[in-house]
Amino acid sequence: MVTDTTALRYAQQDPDVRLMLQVRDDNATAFEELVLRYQARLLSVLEHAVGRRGQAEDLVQEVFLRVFRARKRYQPGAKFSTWLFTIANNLASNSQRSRSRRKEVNIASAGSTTSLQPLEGMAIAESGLMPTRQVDASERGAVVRAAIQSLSDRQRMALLLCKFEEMSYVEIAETMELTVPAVKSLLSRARVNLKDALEPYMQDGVLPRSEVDELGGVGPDE
Amino acid sequence: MNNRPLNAPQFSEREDLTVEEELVAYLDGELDGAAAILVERRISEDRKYRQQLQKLQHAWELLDVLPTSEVSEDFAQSTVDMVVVSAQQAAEEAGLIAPRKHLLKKMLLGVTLCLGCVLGYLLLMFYFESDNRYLVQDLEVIENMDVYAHIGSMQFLKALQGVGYFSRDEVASGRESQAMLSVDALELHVSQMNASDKQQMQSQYERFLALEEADRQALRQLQSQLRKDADVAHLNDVVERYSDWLKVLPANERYELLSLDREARLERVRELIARQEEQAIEHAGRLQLARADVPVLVRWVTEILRRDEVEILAKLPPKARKRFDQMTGLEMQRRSFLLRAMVQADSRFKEQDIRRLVEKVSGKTRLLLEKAEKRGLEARQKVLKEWVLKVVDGRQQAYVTRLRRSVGAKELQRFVKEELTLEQRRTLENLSQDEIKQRILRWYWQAHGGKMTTPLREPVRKPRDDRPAIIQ
Repeated sequence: MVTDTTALRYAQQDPDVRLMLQVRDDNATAFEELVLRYQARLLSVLEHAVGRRGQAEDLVQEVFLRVFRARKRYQPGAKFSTWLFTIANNLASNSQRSRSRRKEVNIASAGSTTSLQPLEGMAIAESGLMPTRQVDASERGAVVRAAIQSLSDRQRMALLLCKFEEMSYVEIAETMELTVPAVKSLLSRARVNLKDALEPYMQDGVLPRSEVDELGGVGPDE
Repeated sequence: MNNRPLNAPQFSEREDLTVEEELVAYLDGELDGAAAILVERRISEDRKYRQQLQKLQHAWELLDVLPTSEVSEDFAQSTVDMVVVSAQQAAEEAGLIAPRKHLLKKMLLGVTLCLGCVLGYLLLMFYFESDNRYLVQDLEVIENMDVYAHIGSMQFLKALQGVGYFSRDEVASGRESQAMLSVDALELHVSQMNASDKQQMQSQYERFLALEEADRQALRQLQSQLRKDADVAHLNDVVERYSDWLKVLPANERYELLSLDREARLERVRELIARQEEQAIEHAGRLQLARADVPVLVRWVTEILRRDEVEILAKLPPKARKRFDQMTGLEMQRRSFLLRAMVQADSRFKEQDIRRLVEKVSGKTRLLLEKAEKRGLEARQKVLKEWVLKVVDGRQQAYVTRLRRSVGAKELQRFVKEELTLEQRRTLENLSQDEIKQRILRWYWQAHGGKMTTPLREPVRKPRDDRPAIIQ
């Protein structure tokens, strides 16, 4: 239950809460403004959380749809961004759960057992003209994405909220509906797992297995 | 790794943190001053501990290579459109609004009643206890003073009604009699009003009193003429819809509009509405079709392609016809080519075709087509053209994916190793990873089309005897 004092405090401190209160009063321009302010931030977190651009875009739109539908019940009990990302987290979790029920397999995590050389690498390496630095930059991005995908859904979301949204532990706890000690533990495991996944690459430049598979271009369709 | 701090029981006694939790909390700036100092001291003394920290930090810094997502220009508009359409659809499905604006009407009526109650309360206060008797007469004027001020005169209101956009055939009754509630009823409703509504009404009343007498008179005159008009219900509806429309107009446009004289303002209203409708159609075309509607659209457009195929082929420019004839054995490519030719050259979607489609699509899609219907056949053809092109692109992409899956990585790697020319390899250097994959597949397709070693999972159906091979 949100008290009037709490609601007033958040309305005074957070301009986005004030915008949302205007949305509650059916102000369409305020809603559009919130969409403009948050769409890229939501998309960044959700794209890395679910690993697919198209699915992330659908989720972003679904988040705003939920916000719009909930507008009449809105009572400021937290920063607007915390409330928004709570919705996003719940939707992403549901989406991931239903995806695993459908037994979908992501190309990035498809379990190929071949030890094939990455296709693009082969094609370009043999031309002998590609600057090494460009290959490194693109390769590093793919390696980090693969490492993030190797985390559990909850670890990944906590990590992304911490990194991209620069949320404090308290805010992450509110967003993910966990206790602060649970967030500490979750983030710690996430960062250790991330380090473990990236360690071979950091030390020797060796690609993680899932990354080899992705570049090899095999795997079931979406 | 040991899950307890290496040699710092002081941390674990206080918060029972593991080494990793402690280091991560330190890196995230979540340790308090004293705990942070202890960690720093240990970092300087303990090499293994320091290395753990460095590795965690390095891994964290690697995340900086992840790009923040770029959002296309029309994504926000498409989101807002989608939200509005979905919310409307959900409300309709839940039976909350039938017809579409019924809930809004009810809400407005409710608000109106509530406002009426507040005014009634004020009326009671002032009518019986003070000399403010004119409040009774100005009840509706005070309530609608902003929109009345924007309208200005009955002539302008009637002209607005003539614009069409603001008038409807069916209007809920009841609004015209809002000010005729009994004093008892007003008193009852007032007693149920919350403090915020009372305050709002009080400030509205004060604003009215602050107007020049001539302005107050002009508003009273408009209200009086409105109540006497035989078409009061429809005119009240126009007032309401015009007021809603003004609220969502960008501030600068609203300001500019309201500063114009009557004739110019009316002309500007028409222009703005035309522009809004045009934009709505463009946005509809860019919206993602509901998943269930994609096969419906494909079946529908394929039927039209079958019907008009001979004519479409005959109208192809010689160069395009030559390209088409060279696409032997590539059914998907041939069909997509003709579909594109069909929607791009001239629209073959006739009124009865569209009506047939409307009957089969989901409520959301139907709503978008109905919106476009107000702008005529051409507008609907435009929306459908966008959707068909989108579907064709999507299916081509899916086909490439299936092709890629069926070819297999080994075969592709063999192709890259044995068949790519030096020139082709050089071309790849300037492309992104995704583009490289697409390009290699395309070359493979060109080199091996029609004689692939592995068949596609979705077999290409044989054409009917009397039809060319493009129709499945």
